[in-house]
Amino acid sequence: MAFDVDGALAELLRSRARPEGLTWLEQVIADVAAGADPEVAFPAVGRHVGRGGLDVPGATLTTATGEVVPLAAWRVDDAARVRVLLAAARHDAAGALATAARLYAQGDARERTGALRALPFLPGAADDAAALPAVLDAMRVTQGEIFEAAICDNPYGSRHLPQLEWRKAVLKALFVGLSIHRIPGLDDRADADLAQSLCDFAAEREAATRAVPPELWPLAARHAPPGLAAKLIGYLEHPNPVHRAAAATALGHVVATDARVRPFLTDRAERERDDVVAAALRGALARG
Amino acid sequence: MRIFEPHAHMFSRITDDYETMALAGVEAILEPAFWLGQPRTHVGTFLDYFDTLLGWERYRAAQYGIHHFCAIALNPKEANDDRVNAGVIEAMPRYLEKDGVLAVGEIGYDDMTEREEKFFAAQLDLARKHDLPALIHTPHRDKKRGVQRTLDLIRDVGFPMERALVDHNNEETVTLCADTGCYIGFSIYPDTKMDEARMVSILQRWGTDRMVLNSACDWGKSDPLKVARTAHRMKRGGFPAAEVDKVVWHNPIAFFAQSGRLNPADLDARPVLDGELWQGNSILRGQGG
Ligand SMILES: [Zn+2]
Repeated sequence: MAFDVDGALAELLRSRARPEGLTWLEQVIADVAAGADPEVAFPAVGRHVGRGGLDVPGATLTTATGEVVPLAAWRVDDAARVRVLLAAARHDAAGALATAARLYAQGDARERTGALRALPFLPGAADDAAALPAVLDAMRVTQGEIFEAAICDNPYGSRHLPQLEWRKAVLKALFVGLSIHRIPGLDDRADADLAQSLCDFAAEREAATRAVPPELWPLAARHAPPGLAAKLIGYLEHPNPVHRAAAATALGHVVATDARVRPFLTDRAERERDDVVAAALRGALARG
Repeated sequence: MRIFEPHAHMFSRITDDYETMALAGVEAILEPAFWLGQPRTHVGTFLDYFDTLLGWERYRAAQYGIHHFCAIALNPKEANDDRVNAGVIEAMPRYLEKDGVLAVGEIGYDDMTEREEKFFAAQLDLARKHDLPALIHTPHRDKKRGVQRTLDLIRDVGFPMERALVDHNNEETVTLCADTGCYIGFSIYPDTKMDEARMVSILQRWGTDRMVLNSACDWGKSDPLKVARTAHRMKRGGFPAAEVDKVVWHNPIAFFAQSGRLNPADLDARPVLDGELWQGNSILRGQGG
């Protein structure tokens, strides 16, 4: 049986939303499921149910096509707005993504976040790009939480963005300090063009003596441009273990094809005292 | 001294003005929707303007610790323009439900035309439906008759007087508003309309109940510090600090709190930047690779 997204959200909201707000929400959901336009209720959701964090770090939802969506960044009003859009989908399944895109376009920052979070759970999410304009718009706005809701923990954006836009999304996530591991399907869509952009971004940071987000190295190494292996071998001696571990994991992608890499991994492994880095080095060597 | 600026068109100001206002004690701003000098010819440009008040201006203000609220309306001047008037009214219900919208405004008369009256009344009705107070512009020409007609219309349609802020008053019109129970607004400008010294005299004569001061600070010659300057003048004129606070902080809060969407205690906390990520996200950043 399919995962019951609406039921799971209702259960989470029961103890986290304002009680009188829940009564209001259930009425809205009933009206919308019966065909009422959600556009006047949608802005008022936060005022009724609250806007605090859902505060369920480990909880996830599952989409109809089996993608797992973490809820760690969701707020109470996000969960309530997703429920409103699921109700709209019960009335008009074929138009649900377009309704979400319209509410996004009409919404303030909180409404937009809620509309974006609903997208992977709406009928047709897997193959209908009707709400792609909302995702593209979210990539251009100033407000960070809108971008985050479109790109992080959101399989809809990852699935439907054209490759060029998708690469830009990964770079922007790095730029604004979001973990790229929250972008679904990251490893599958990474390509040589992205790898080059990541290395250029790292070089720009290094030239300015600024920190490089270490998580970019393993992704860049999947399609390693010339010179990357040498740079990563240098990073194996970085004083910060997070950088050493990232370099080791990244070198695991090239150890089988670049004979120069293995001796440096072995040499570092013999001297490494940090458990996490040592495990990353062993993992890399096992791929050679 | 904390200032709640109840009428400022920040859309027309540069970001430095937010900082200057914050340094002068402004902790909250209400930005009513008005006209932009150049007539608009499409409903869409109104909606983009409303979205700017709700998004970009709130974001700019929050960077300086200022809470930004707004009022949404079809303004009196453009109520006369059939290219936009009906379409804007049609889009208003969803805007009036948005967070941070504390009133319908600016509405009212400008040239006192039939269309102005029709959309003034229609928007008082919208205010009632969405449980919001109304911020009401009064004409700059023929002001005395304009204010009288404003008060008459509010009464005729049965809109609660205490939920109306009748703005841009002067020495003459304050006598008309004084006993009606409405909130009485004054826009303090550099050269025209009302200045700090005259304002202090009005407060000495009429007292501070339901009196509200603003700088309007629009695209004309105006000064975003006019409320701070007038408050300073009040102190020099012998008003106790509590009376000054009442006029520049408590009165506007009492008026806009009638929306049910302004909790005075929330003003004690720093506003959350729209661009800020929810704190729960920080744990997800910077994981190793
Ligand atoms: Zn104005």
